[in-house]
Amino acid sequence: MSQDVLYQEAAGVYGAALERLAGSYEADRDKRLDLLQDIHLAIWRSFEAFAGHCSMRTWVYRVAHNVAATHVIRHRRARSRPLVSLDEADDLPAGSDSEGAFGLQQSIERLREFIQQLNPLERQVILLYLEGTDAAGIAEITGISPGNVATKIHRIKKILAGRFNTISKGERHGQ
Amino acid sequence: MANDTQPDDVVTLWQAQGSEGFRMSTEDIRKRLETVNRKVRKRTNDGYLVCAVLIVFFTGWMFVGMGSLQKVGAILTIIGVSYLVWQLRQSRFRGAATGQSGDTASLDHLRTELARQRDFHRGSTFWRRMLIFVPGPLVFFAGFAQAHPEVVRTIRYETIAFVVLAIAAIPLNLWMARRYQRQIDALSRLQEEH
Repeated sequence: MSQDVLYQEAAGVYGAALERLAGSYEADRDKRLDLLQDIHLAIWRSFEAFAGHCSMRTWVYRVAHNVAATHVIRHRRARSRPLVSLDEADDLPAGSDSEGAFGLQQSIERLREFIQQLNPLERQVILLYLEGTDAAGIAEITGISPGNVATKIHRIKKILAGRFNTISKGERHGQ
Repeated sequence: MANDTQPDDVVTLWQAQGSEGFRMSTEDIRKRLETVNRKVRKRTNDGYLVCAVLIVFFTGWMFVGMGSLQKVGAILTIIGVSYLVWQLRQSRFRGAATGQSGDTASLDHLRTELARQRDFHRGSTFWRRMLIFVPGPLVFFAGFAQAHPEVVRTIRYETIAFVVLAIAAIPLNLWMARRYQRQIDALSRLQEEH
């Protein structure tokens, strides 16, 4: 398959996930669009060397996260707060409305803000988990050992249950 | 309805986010590629321009009746700036060669990025930079003081400030390198099984 065909297929299947990914790496709207374009460009370029040794999903996520991680590293001086690991995530402020129920959009925003404070690798693990990737898939994409991925997923589940415990039932079922 | 949210609910919520349906056509990609290349070219050219101004400045000094010590200082500084131009060209080619690839696991990519930043602050790259940049201005200051004894006091202060900054750069850079190394070590631990 040609580079263009592979790219169009990847953009069709993973386009929405890539938008969510860019939104989790960059808060500023204009910079987010820039990042998203860079990700799409990198994916298109990468398909020149795609030999099918791994699945398209693994390939696309690797390229996308690598571009986004480079973006985070290069823009780290512009950030006011240092990035943290999942183990340090308990120290992050929970937000002023944590005790009350809040809407779907607010829940997503809070989750995105939380993710944006994590260091690139932890951010990648939580994003892949949220996109429904299993532990083996996360290990393959990130290069982290399966044992460490399992530990991180356990931690993520605990954090998600603890920090996002006020989502109303209706929102939970996407109503 | 507090305290009963399951992680799977958050996953469902996350994936239910609206999409703007962002896509790029082949034409969009070509345009983006041009924009990226233009940005890289501009950044490199800005670097070249600064170097050119410095080279012209110090070359100009050599024709206004300087003493031999000042000339040696100016030549050393020109060599230092020329080395910077060479490094700029090297990093440009290296940047073009290390494109994004789906063959590289994220952890390896991050480690490469961090190692690149670490090596900027330590080892031969760092010491070469120090050796090439520090002697030139020092010799130039000494030559200037020799040629103009009336301003020797000012030159002395400038030289002290320059030396202090150069010496301070050493622990600062090594500290930065250690910080990057700690992050690299933390990444390596993630590859090991418990």
